[in-house]
Amino acid sequence: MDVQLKKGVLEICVLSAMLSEETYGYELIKKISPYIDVSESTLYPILRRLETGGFVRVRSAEHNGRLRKYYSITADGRQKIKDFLADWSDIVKIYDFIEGECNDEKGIS
Amino acid sequence: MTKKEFLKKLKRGLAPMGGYERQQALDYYDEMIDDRIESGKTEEEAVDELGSPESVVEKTLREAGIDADKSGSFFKDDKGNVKTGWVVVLIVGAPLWFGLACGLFGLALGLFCGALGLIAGIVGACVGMVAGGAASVGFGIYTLFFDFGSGLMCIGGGLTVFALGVLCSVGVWLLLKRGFGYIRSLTRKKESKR
Repeated sequence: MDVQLKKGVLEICVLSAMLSEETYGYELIKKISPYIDVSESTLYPILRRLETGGFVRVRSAEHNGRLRKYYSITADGRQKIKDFLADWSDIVKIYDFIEGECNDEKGIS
Repeated sequence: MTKKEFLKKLKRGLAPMGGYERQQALDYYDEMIDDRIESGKTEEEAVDELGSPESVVEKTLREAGIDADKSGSFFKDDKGNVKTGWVVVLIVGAPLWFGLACGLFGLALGLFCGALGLIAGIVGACVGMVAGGAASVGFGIYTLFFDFGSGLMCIGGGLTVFALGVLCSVGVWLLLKRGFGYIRSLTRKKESKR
Protein backbone atom coordinates (compact mmCIF):
# COMPACT_ATOMS: atom_id res chain seq x y z
CA MET A 1 0.00 0.00 0.00
CA ASP A 2 1.12 3.58 -0.62
CA VAL A 3 2.99 4.86 2.43
CA GLN A 4 0.95 8.05 2.80
CA LEU A 5 -2.31 6.19 2.48
CA LYS A 6 -1.19 3.65 5.03
CA LYS A 7 -0.21 6.38 7.45
CA GLY A 8 -3.67 7.81 7.28
CA VAL A 9 -5.55 4.61 8.07
CA LEU A 10 -3.15 2.87 10.41
CA GLU A 11 -3.84 5.15 13.37
CA ILE A 12 -7.56 4.52 13.07
CA CYS A 13 -6.94 0.80 12.75
CA VAL A 14 -4.95 0.79 15.95
CA LEU A 15 -7.64 2.78 17.75
CA SER A 16 -10.36 0.44 16.53
CA ALA A 17 -8.49 -2.58 17.78
CA MET A 18 -8.86 -1.13 21.28
CA LEU A 19 -12.57 -0.43 21.10
CA SER A 20 -13.84 -3.68 22.52
CA GLU A 21 -11.29 -4.05 25.28
CA GLU A 22 -8.01 -2.89 26.74
CA THR A 23 -5.12 -4.45 24.86
CA TYR A 24 -1.34 -4.71 24.86
CA GLY A 25 1.27 -4.13 22.15
CA TYR A 26 1.77 -7.58 20.71
CA GLU A 27 -1.94 -8.29 20.78
CA LEU A 28 -2.54 -5.14 18.74
CA ILE A 29 -0.16 -6.37 16.08
CA LYS A 30 -1.84 -9.75 15.95
CA LYS A 31 -5.28 -8.12 15.63
CA ILE A 32 -4.33 -5.72 12.83
CA SER A 33 -1.90 -7.83 10.81
CA PRO A 34 -4.55 -9.68 8.77
CA TYR A 35 -5.79 -6.35 7.40
CA ILE A 36 -2.69 -4.23 7.13
CA ASP A 37 1.03 -4.86 7.35
CA VAL A 38 2.36 -3.45 10.60
CA SER A 39 5.65 -3.98 12.40
CA GLU A 40 6.62 -3.14 15.97
CA SER A 41 8.72 -0.19 14.83
CA THR A 42 5.79 1.16 12.81
CA LEU A 43 3.37 0.68 15.68
CA TYR A 44 5.51 2.35 18.32
CA PRO A 45 5.44 5.94 17.03
CA ILE A 46 1.70 5.60 16.39
CA LEU A 47 1.05 4.54 19.97
CA ARG A 48 3.21 7.39 21.27
CA ARG A 49 1.36 9.90 19.10
CA LEU A 50 -2.03 8.60 20.14
CA GLU A 51 -1.03 8.74 23.79
CA THR A 52 0.33 12.28 23.67
CA GLY A 53 -2.71 13.32 21.65
CA GLY A 54 -5.02 12.05 24.37
CA PHE A 55 -6.71 9.44 22.16
CA VAL A 56 -5.29 6.52 24.11
CA ARG A 57 -4.74 5.81 27.78
CA VAL A 58 -1.82 3.67 28.99
CA ARG A 59 -1.36 1.78 32.21
CA SER A 60 1.31 -0.60 33.38
CA ALA A 61 0.30 -3.85 35.00
CA GLU A 62 2.19 -6.85 36.23
CA HIS A 63 2.12 -9.91 34.03
CA ASN A 64 4.14 -13.06 34.67
CA GLY A 65 6.67 -11.23 36.77
CA ARG A 66 7.23 -8.37 34.37
CA LEU A 67 5.53 -5.10 33.58
CA ARG A 68 3.26 -4.88 30.59
CA LYS A 69 1.64 -1.78 29.09
CA TYR A 70 -2.07 -1.89 28.43
CA TYR A 71 -3.66 0.56 26.01
CA SER A 72 -7.29 1.66 26.09
CA ILE A 73 -9.21 4.13 23.99
CA THR A 74 -10.47 7.46 25.33
CA ALA A 75 -13.55 9.46 24.40
CA ASP A 76 -11.41 11.60 22.08
CA GLY A 77 -10.16 8.40 20.49
CA ARG A 78 -13.70 7.21 19.81
CA GLN A 79 -14.51 10.57 18.27
CA LYS A 80 -11.48 10.28 16.03
CA ILE A 81 -12.83 6.98 14.67
CA LYS A 82 -16.24 8.54 14.11
CA ASP A 83 -14.67 11.42 12.19
CA PHE A 84 -12.75 8.99 10.02
CA LEU A 85 -15.88 7.04 9.15
CA ALA A 86 -17.69 10.27 8.35
CA ASP A 87 -14.86 11.18 5.99
CA TRP A 88 -15.21 7.79 4.36
CA SER A 89 -18.20 8.74 2.22
CA ASP A 90 -16.11 11.56 0.73
CA ILE A 91 -13.30 9.12 0.07
CA VAL A 92 -15.69 6.76 -1.71
CA LYS A 93 -16.82 9.62 -3.94
CA ILE A 94 -13.23 10.44 -4.81
CA TYR A 95 -12.53 6.80 -5.50
CA ASP A 96 -15.52 6.62 -7.85
CA PHE A 97 -14.35 9.76 -9.60
CA ILE A 98 -10.87 8.38 -10.10
CA GLU A 99 -12.21 5.09 -11.36
CA GLY A 100 -14.63 6.86 -13.68
CA GLU A 101 -11.89 9.01 -15.15
CA CYS A 102 -9.80 5.93 -15.77
CA ASN A 103 -12.67 4.20 -17.58
CA ASP A 104 -13.29 7.26 -19.73
CA GLU A 105 -9.72 7.40 -20.88
CA LYS A 106 -9.24 4.90 -23.66
CA GLY A 107 -6.75 2.17 -23.07
CA ILE A 108 -7.06 2.15 -19.32
CA SER A 109 -9.66 0.07 -17.52
CA MET B 1 21.28 -11.90 18.72
CA THR B 2 20.09 -12.05 22.30
CA LYS B 3 17.52 -9.70 23.73
CA LYS B 4 20.19 -8.09 25.85
CA GLU B 5 22.43 -7.37 22.85
CA PHE B 6 19.53 -6.04 20.82
CA LEU B 7 18.40 -3.68 23.58
CA LYS B 8 21.97 -2.56 24.21
CA LYS B 9 22.42 -1.58 20.57
CA LEU B 10 19.04 0.10 20.62
CA LYS B 11 19.94 2.07 23.71
CA ARG B 12 23.13 3.31 22.11
CA GLY B 13 21.49 4.21 18.83
CA LEU B 14 18.63 6.05 20.50
CA ALA B 15 21.01 8.26 22.47
CA PRO B 16 19.88 11.41 20.60
CA MET B 17 16.50 10.98 22.23
CA GLY B 18 15.92 12.37 25.70
CA GLY B 19 16.36 9.95 28.62
CA TYR B 20 12.64 9.53 29.24
CA GLU B 21 11.66 8.98 25.61
CA ARG B 22 14.50 6.56 25.10
CA GLN B 23 13.49 4.50 28.12
CA GLN B 24 9.89 4.39 26.88
CA ALA B 25 11.09 2.98 23.56
CA LEU B 26 13.38 0.44 25.25
CA ASP B 27 10.55 -0.74 27.52
CA TYR B 28 8.30 -1.14 24.50
CA TYR B 29 10.72 -3.35 22.57
CA ASP B 30 11.63 -5.30 25.71
CA GLU B 31 7.94 -6.06 26.16
CA MET B 32 7.48 -6.97 22.51
CA ILE B 33 10.30 -9.49 22.65
CA ASP B 34 9.00 -11.01 25.88
CA ASP B 35 5.49 -11.29 24.46
CA ARG B 36 6.78 -13.11 21.41
CA ILE B 37 8.77 -15.49 23.57
CA GLU B 38 5.66 -16.08 25.63
CA SER B 39 3.72 -16.98 22.49
CA GLY B 40 6.14 -19.79 21.81
CA LYS B 41 9.09 -18.30 19.94
CA THR B 42 12.72 -18.54 20.96
CA GLU B 43 14.62 -15.45 22.02
CA GLU B 44 16.60 -15.47 18.75
CA GLU B 45 13.43 -15.68 16.67
CA ALA B 46 11.68 -12.98 18.65
CA VAL B 47 14.59 -10.59 18.23
CA ASP B 48 15.00 -11.43 14.53
CA GLU B 49 11.37 -10.64 13.85
CA LEU B 50 11.93 -7.07 14.99
CA GLY B 51 14.46 -6.44 12.27
CA SER B 52 17.97 -5.12 12.75
CA PRO B 53 18.53 -2.75 15.68
CA GLU B 54 19.93 -0.22 13.20
CA SER B 55 16.71 -0.12 11.19
CA VAL B 56 14.63 0.14 14.35
CA VAL B 57 16.79 3.02 15.55
CA GLU B 58 16.58 4.80 12.21
CA LYS B 59 12.82 4.46 12.05
CA THR B 60 12.24 5.49 15.65
CA LEU B 61 14.45 8.55 15.38
CA ARG B 62 12.88 9.53 12.09
CA GLU B 63 9.37 9.33 13.53
CA ALA B 64 10.47 11.29 16.58
CA GLY B 65 11.75 13.98 14.22
CA ILE B 66 15.30 13.69 15.43
CA ASP B 67 18.19 13.96 13.03
CA ALA B 68 19.93 10.59 13.27
CA ASP B 69 23.15 12.25 12.18
CA LYS B 70 24.94 12.98 15.44
CA SER B 71 26.36 16.23 14.13
CA GLY B 72 24.38 18.26 16.58
CA SER B 73 25.53 21.27 18.49
CA PHE B 74 28.62 20.76 20.61
CA PHE B 75 27.32 22.85 23.49
CA LYS B 76 23.60 22.24 23.36
CA ASP B 77 21.53 19.10 23.32
CA ASP B 78 18.51 18.42 21.11
CA LYS B 79 16.17 20.36 23.32
CA GLY B 80 18.28 23.46 23.11
CA ASN B 81 19.46 23.26 26.70
CA VAL B 82 23.13 23.56 27.44
CA LYS B 83 24.65 20.10 27.89
CA THR B 84 25.21 19.11 31.52
CA GLY B 85 28.89 18.51 30.90
CA TRP B 86 29.44 22.13 29.96
CA VAL B 87 27.45 23.37 32.93
CA VAL B 88 29.70 21.31 35.24
CA VAL B 89 32.85 22.63 33.57
CA LEU B 90 31.60 26.18 33.95
CA ILE B 91 30.77 25.76 37.63
CA VAL B 92 33.79 23.69 38.68
CA GLY B 93 36.17 25.87 36.70
CA ALA B 94 34.65 29.09 38.07
CA PRO B 95 37.79 30.08 40.02
CA LEU B 96 39.88 29.52 36.92
CA TRP B 97 37.53 31.48 34.64
CA PHE B 98 37.38 34.29 37.16
CA GLY B 99 41.13 34.43 37.50
CA LEU B 100 41.59 34.37 33.74
CA ALA B 101 39.04 37.12 33.29
CA CYS B 102 40.76 39.31 35.86
CA GLY B 103 44.10 38.71 34.23
CA LEU B 104 42.82 39.56 30.78
CA PHE B 105 41.11 42.66 32.11
CA GLY B 106 44.33 43.74 33.82
CA LEU B 107 46.25 43.19 30.60
CA ALA B 108 43.79 45.23 28.59
CA LEU B 109 43.81 48.00 31.15
CA GLY B 110 47.59 47.99 31.24
CA LEU B 111 47.88 48.21 27.47
CA PHE B 112 45.38 51.03 27.35
CA CYS B 113 47.17 52.98 30.05
CA GLY B 114 50.48 52.34 28.34
CA ALA B 115 49.12 53.75 25.11
CA LEU B 116 47.77 56.78 26.92
CA GLY B 117 51.08 57.26 28.64
CA LEU B 118 52.94 57.08 25.36
CA ILE B 119 50.68 59.67 23.79
CA ALA B 120 51.03 61.88 26.86
CA GLY B 121 54.80 61.57 26.64
CA ILE B 122 54.91 62.58 23.00
CA VAL B 123 52.54 65.46 23.54
CA GLY B 124 54.63 66.49 26.50
CA ALA B 125 57.76 66.41 24.40
CA CYS B 126 56.18 68.62 21.74
CA VAL B 127 54.87 71.07 24.28
CA GLY B 128 58.25 71.00 25.94
CA MET B 129 60.04 71.80 22.70
CA VAL B 130 57.71 74.64 21.86
CA ALA B 131 57.80 76.11 25.34
CA GLY B 132 61.49 75.46 25.80
CA GLY B 133 62.31 76.94 22.43
CA ALA B 134 60.22 80.03 23.12
CA ALA B 135 61.77 80.41 26.54
CA SER B 136 65.21 80.09 25.04
CA VAL B 137 64.43 82.81 22.52
CA GLY B 138 63.19 85.04 25.27
CA PHE B 139 66.26 84.36 27.41
CA GLY B 140 68.43 84.87 24.39
CA ILE B 141 67.01 88.32 23.72
CA TYR B 142 67.60 89.22 27.37
CA THR B 143 71.19 87.87 27.22
CA LEU B 144 71.87 89.90 24.07
CA PHE B 145 72.34 92.93 26.26
CA PHE B 146 75.07 91.21 28.35
CA ASP B 147 76.67 88.77 25.99
CA PHE B 148 75.77 89.28 22.35
CA GLY B 149 77.28 86.00 21.16
CA SER B 150 75.63 83.82 23.75
CA GLY B 151 72.41 85.74 23.24
CA LEU B 152 72.44 85.03 19.52
CA MET B 153 73.15 81.37 20.17
CA CYS B 154 70.26 81.15 22.55
CA ILE B 155 67.94 82.84 20.12
CA GLY B 156 69.10 80.63 17.26
CA GLY B 157 68.87 77.42 19.27
CA GLY B 158 65.57 78.47 20.76
CA LEU B 159 64.08 79.24 17.39
CA THR B 160 65.24 75.88 16.05
CA VAL B 161 63.78 73.94 18.94
CA PHE B 162 60.61 76.03 18.79
CA ALA B 163 60.21 75.33 15.09
CA LEU B 164 60.85 71.63 15.59
CA GLY B 165 58.36 71.62 18.44
CA VAL B 166 55.72 73.29 16.29
CA LEU B 167 56.33 70.84 13.46
CA CYS B 168 56.10 67.86 15.82
CA SER B 169 53.01 69.24 17.47
CA VAL B 170 51.28 69.70 14.14
CA GLY B 171 52.30 66.18 13.13
CA VAL B 172 51.09 64.65 16.38
CA TRP B 173 47.87 66.67 16.19
CA LEU B 174 47.12 65.38 12.69
CA LEU B 175 47.91 61.79 13.72
CA LEU B 176 45.69 62.03 16.78
CA LYS B 177 42.90 63.51 14.68
CA ARG B 178 43.14 60.64 12.24
CA GLY B 179 43.27 58.15 15.07
CA PHE B 180 40.12 59.46 16.73
CA GLY B 181 38.39 59.68 13.37
CA TYR B 182 39.15 56.03 12.77
CA ILE B 183 37.84 55.04 16.18
CA ARG B 184 34.71 57.11 15.56
CA SER B 185 34.13 55.44 12.20
CA LEU B 186 34.33 52.06 13.89
CA THR B 187 31.65 53.01 16.39
CA ARG B 188 29.57 54.49 13.60
CA LYS B 189 29.80 51.24 11.68
CA LYS B 190 28.62 49.36 14.73
CA GLU B 191 25.66 51.72 15.04
CA SER B 192 24.69 51.32 11.41
CA LYS B 193 24.88 47.53 11.75
CA ARG B 194 22.27 47.78 14.47
